Amino acid sequence: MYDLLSIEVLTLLFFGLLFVFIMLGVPLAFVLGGLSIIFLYFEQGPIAFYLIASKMWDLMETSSLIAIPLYVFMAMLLERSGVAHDLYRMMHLWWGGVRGGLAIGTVGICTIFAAMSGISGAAVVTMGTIALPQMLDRGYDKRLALGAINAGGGWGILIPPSILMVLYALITEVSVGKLFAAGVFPGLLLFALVSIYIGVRCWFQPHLGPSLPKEERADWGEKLSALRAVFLPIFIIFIVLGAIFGGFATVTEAAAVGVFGALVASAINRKLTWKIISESSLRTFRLTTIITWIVFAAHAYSMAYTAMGAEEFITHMTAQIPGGKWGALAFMMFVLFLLGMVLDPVGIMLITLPVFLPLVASHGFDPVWFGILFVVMMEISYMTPPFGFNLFYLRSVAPPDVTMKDIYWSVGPYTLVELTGLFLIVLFPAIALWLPNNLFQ
Amino acid sequence: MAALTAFARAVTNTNALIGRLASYAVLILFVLLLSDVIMRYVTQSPISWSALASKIVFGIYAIIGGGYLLARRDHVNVDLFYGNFTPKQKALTDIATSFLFFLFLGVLLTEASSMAYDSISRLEVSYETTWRPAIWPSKSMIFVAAFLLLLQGIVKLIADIMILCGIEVDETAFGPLRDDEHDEKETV
Repeated sequence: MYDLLSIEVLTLLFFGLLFVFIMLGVPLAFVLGGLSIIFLYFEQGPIAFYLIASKMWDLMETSSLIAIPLYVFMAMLLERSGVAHDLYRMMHLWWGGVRGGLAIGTVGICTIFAAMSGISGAAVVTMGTIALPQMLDRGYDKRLALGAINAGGGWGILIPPSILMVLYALITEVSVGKLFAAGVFPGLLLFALVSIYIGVRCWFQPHLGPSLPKEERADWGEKLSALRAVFLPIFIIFIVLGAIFGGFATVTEAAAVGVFGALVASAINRKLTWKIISESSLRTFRLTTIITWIVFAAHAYSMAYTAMGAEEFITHMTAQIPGGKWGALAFMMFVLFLLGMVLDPVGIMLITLPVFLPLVASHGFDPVWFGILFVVMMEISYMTPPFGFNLFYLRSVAPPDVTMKDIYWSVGPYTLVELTGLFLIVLFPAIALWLPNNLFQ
Repeated sequence: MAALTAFARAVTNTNALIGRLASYAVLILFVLLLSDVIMRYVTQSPISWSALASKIVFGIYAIIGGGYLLARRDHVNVDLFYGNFTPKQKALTDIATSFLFFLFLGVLLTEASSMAYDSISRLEVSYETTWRPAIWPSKSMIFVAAFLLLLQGIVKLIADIMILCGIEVDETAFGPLRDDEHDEKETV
């Protein structure tokens, strides 16, 4: 049968069937696994099946993957450590007097949270619970407030540590440390752009984000004492990122250090109970297992893809895209944007990278820089309907008068702001690459 | 029908118990890796076996929960259309597409069993460090994990057939039937 089908038809079938079954609601891991069995059978026969189990064993032996449960655990603990609550209080006191200040403060907390967490969900849930009701109470525009949390909540995967970068590094074989370092300034750039957007809009349209009335504003004594809230986060960021960038520990070991920091923070805030540890362990186990099974199946899928010889065909096809290397880059970003509307980032990454990486290499793009663009696109995918995890998280914690329609409409302007950020990183690769190139000689 | 429900309950409860127990392994990973870092800088003598031990623990941790996830319908899927299906339409779709699951798990189970057989018959150990831990138990875990997931998949298939035939399904035994609730789902 293999001989009868041309590589064009086969490639089309390979990705077409993937799409069809995903759309039919079949879990991603089983679509990838099942299809790879079918294609391996027709390409190489049952003799190739031993690869399925042996690849699984290889991944079980991959020490960089151990970072995943630890960073997830760290985020789950921090989510309930009370750290975000104290941070919000501080931001409220310091920024409340500025138009749009509470929203800017909220994305500021998202940035700090992102530097402590390798996943996105934690920030959306905590800010949706703490900051959203406060902003709505103070007369903030629903969409402005929702969009701010939606956008800021996605930065967890761009600002180090990042689970998505751990996976990206595993597939592309670039250094995780470099990727982490490359995420720092792009993350700060997005924070700056989103803050400017909020600040400017609220300056001209004060009804969107009114400043607090004079009598509600804090005096300097209160403001200064509230600053204590940043000690714990800075301590955690310092020990984790310091350990990685200073070369004191591997990314995986630093994750264990981060868990320690999260436990200390919970203990200081008197939130450290066995119940929280036990529940966080279970949620960590679920999320890790979701990821690892997709990774196992996707490995089989990319083996089938390579065995098929489709790589050459795809490279040949994409050579037809007009605009040379920039055309190819725009095309890849567009594909990611579309996939981001329906699929989750881990799945998108594992499906597209085997196809994209040869392109990235043939056009001479830096794989670290491309990784950052990739992650920014994934953040946008978190917040774009119909399938964006941030949307569902936000829905699950928002007050009842916030409708799904509000949440959908809120993301429009913020998506444009983040795309602007992406464009700047494309124009000025140094935004991403300066830090890793100077940290790791 | 009572026998089927009892079988389903046994499988679902076993997977739930395994998930609960395995989830605590993250604490072991934490202690192993943290103590390695501390020992390296405080006593200048790293623990030679902790990196390898954490790999072995992680390997089992990473795969054993496949069945547990399926019992909770937690494997990530896209419910853009699926979410709007009626229970019967969902059941029909799941039955029609279940060949993907059974192909994948069938092959995985077969290959994992020969890998486990080979590993156990020579009592395989790791040669990575001077500490030579047995790795045949963790290698055999692929077989166990695949088996647990396959069983849960059979339970899911039975439930779908029952729904299609209009027989009432006990969700505490077969796992939840609705999976359009995003609130509980976890993501990166």
